[in-house]
Amino acid sequence: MITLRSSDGETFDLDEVVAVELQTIKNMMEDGCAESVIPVPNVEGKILAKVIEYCKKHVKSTAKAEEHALSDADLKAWDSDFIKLDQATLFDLIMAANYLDIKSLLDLLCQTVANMIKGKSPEEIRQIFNIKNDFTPEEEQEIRRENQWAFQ
Amino acid sequence: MADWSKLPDDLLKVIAKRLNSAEDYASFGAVCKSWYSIFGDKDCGGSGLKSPWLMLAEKKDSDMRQFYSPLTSKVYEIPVPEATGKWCWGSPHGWLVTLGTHFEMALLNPITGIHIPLPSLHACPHLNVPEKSQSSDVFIYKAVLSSSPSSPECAVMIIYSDYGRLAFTKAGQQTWTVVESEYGPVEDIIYFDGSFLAVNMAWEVWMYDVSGSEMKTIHFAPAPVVHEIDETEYEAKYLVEAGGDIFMVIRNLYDTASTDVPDMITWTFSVLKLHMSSKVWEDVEDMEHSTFFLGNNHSFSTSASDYPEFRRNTIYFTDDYCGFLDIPRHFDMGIYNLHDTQIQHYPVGHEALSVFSAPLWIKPSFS
Repeated sequence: MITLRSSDGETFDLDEVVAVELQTIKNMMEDGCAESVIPVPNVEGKILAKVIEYCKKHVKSTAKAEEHALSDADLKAWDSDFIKLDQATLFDLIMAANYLDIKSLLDLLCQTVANMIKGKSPEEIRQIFNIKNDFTPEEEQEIRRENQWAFQ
Repeated sequence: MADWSKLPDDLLKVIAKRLNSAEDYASFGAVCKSWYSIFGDKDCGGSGLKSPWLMLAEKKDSDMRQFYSPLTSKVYEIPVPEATGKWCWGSPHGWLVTLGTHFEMALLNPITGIHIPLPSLHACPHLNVPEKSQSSDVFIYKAVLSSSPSSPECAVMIIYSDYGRLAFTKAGQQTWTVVESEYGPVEDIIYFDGSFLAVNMAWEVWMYDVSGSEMKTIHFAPAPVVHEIDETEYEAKYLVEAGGDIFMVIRNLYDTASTDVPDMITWTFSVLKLHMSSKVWEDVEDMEHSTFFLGNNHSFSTSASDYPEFRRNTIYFTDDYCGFLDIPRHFDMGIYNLHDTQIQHYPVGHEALSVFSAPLWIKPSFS
């Protein structure tokens, strides 16, 4: 059993089989520097909870009959529900998945962001992700001129 | 507070790489400064990552070129003056190889507008270049690149003359090197695993490694055992790589003997796959997860899972007739499905047939 502690002091107990989905934690365990409680200073409790929820669902079935094992289709459906998040949570999750090195979660989240960008104009993208337009009007004009065909 | 403009570069790149549409990628770059800073990154916007476009034939009196994207179903208009009045070949690297009426050649990226002249064919003593080009005799059948010219190792190989000879040039060279070969006229060339591969009229595949100071020629694969094909007026051969495997595709055309254009129509394709260890070719009825793009471009494939806007197990083909019959001719363009062996008319690109450039496939690139 591995215990993780979030930046805001929440603790989460994980079976080892789930903990190894987080490559960063797995490396610590293999290097023998995993203590009884592993601090995760970059990630706050509500985000870490979601990360762990994902990893528990995605743990590969072990040899013994796993009553929680899901088919590929079920897992995909679960993932589709999982990513229904506001953009702020999505951002925090991406940063956490990157820090904890969980490739499949990172891929899923990045694909989700890419899907949100598809078919949108730069202004629409800024609105969705609450991004400030930090170009000067001249800079913006120049960039749009570079690929004018895309902005017709 | 989530600040997407502060997302680390390596994560931005992961997201940018997943934008298959060149249009989406352009929008991505225009969002904010930090997103724009990775926009020029070769790994994200560079060769081979964006959904193929069909570059349409040039329109009369215009430098604006139209590009049709099956992914977005849109036609984009981009000024490409350096391609006007030139024969062009497409590639999966985002660059065109162009040939002008005075045999001047160049590499051209239609999105960035970057134009890189290649050595003049006239300057090369061993290339018997005719005085000037007739519109019905292009002199060059195909031109392919080993990679994007942003790589210092970039090489260009051409099939030229009425005897399907080969010549190549490398980045920084001032001349073309003729490939002296007794292996007969070449019908198609591709770049695979560090070398150029060529299929000749006798169905054999030869490998040409131009990376060193001396070119190496290696017999790559013997001719396949083929069944008699009856009533074929003309047969074009193509090589294409998909998923690490090499395929040979035979396109059978017949002459309609009419004045309508196109006058040569494709009626079927055969696809053979090379068994890499035994070098035996086998008939293929299912390309499984691939789509092939053949014609007046460096033959390339896409994987159906990455580019579902293109049908799997399907060949998208274009008019690559280039004057070998000494009379004006046009091949057709369309879509062939291996499963039901049906050929479909391609929905776009039949207007404004230009003497210079039939529609061609290109995978757009931002670098």
